[in-house]
Amino acid sequence: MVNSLIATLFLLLLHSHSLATRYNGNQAEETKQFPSAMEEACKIVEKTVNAEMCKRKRFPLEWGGDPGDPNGQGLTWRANFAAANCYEGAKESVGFHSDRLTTIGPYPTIASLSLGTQYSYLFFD
Amino acid sequence: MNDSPEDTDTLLALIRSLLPDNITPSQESLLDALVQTDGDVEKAAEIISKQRLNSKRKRKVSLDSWLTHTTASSNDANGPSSSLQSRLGSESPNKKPRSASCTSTTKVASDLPLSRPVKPVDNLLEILRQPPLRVSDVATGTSVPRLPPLTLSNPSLVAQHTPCTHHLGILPAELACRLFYTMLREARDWPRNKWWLFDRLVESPHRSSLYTRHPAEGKDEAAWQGITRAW
Repeated sequence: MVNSLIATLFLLLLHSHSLATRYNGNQAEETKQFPSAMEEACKIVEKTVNAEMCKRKRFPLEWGGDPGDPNGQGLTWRANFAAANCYEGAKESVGFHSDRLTTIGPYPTIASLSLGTQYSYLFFD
Repeated sequence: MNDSPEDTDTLLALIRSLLPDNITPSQESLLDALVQTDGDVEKAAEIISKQRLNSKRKRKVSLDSWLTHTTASSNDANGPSSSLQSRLGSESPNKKPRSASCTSTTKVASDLPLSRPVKPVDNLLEILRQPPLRVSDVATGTSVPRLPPLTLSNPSLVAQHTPCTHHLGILPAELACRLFYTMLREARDWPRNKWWLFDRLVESPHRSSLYTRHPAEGKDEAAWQGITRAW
């Protein structure tokens, strides 16, 4: 049971290029598809992300979109994958870590959608 | 010996025979010495044994002076016999000897005339530790200063300090609510990541799962299913 009063969700939306890939070296046990609410949210996030990307200088090896994508609608960044994380309360937190994602290419764009209780998100480089 | 027309190999062998057994110089240094002395094997052997002595003394003195924080010039007076061990022993004769070798060198060292006051070396770890962080280092960026985490509480601060942008309330309230409860319900079945860490099976303190978007039109659905199975 997940307590909705203290839960925080982080939905990482990203674009993965490779068909043979693993998330942090683990084999996913089953195929789950975006629920309809996530599909709706993803369309809104895509619009905002692409608008932001237009304002930026692009890196030489950065993914430039798939012109052959029939659903692409001319968008450079299309999310086709989501890593969903759920934290129940302040006790549930992970320390500094980096996800071993090798199939999202150099300079990947990742949208992180946060829902629920306020939560500290720390980055370092 | 100078007059005899010997070939180089013979000359090298002659020099080697003139050197003590513990000195085994390289072919190059032997040839160098031969060239310097114009083929005189005796002089060449002398040069090589002198070189050995010099390099030995230099190395000892430099380490010694570094450990005891003394100047190089004052070290010359004591010569190579003033090793670190003898100094350790001589400066703290009243203290408990550190090792057997320390006590044996104490006698030798006390016979030496101590021409200057030497700071006692009590703790080698104090000398060998990392140099303290200086203000000048921080200013020039030679070492990384430890700063507290920067709190970015609004979108403009996020844009200023990170390569990210922060969009508050990106989803309409109704959709955000619906998505939250949908995913929360799904999260009941999400597993906690498990992995091995130092011989122990550890569990991540959060639940996580992966989702793929509905297969795009025109893409082979079976192939897309294969993708996610490999994740």
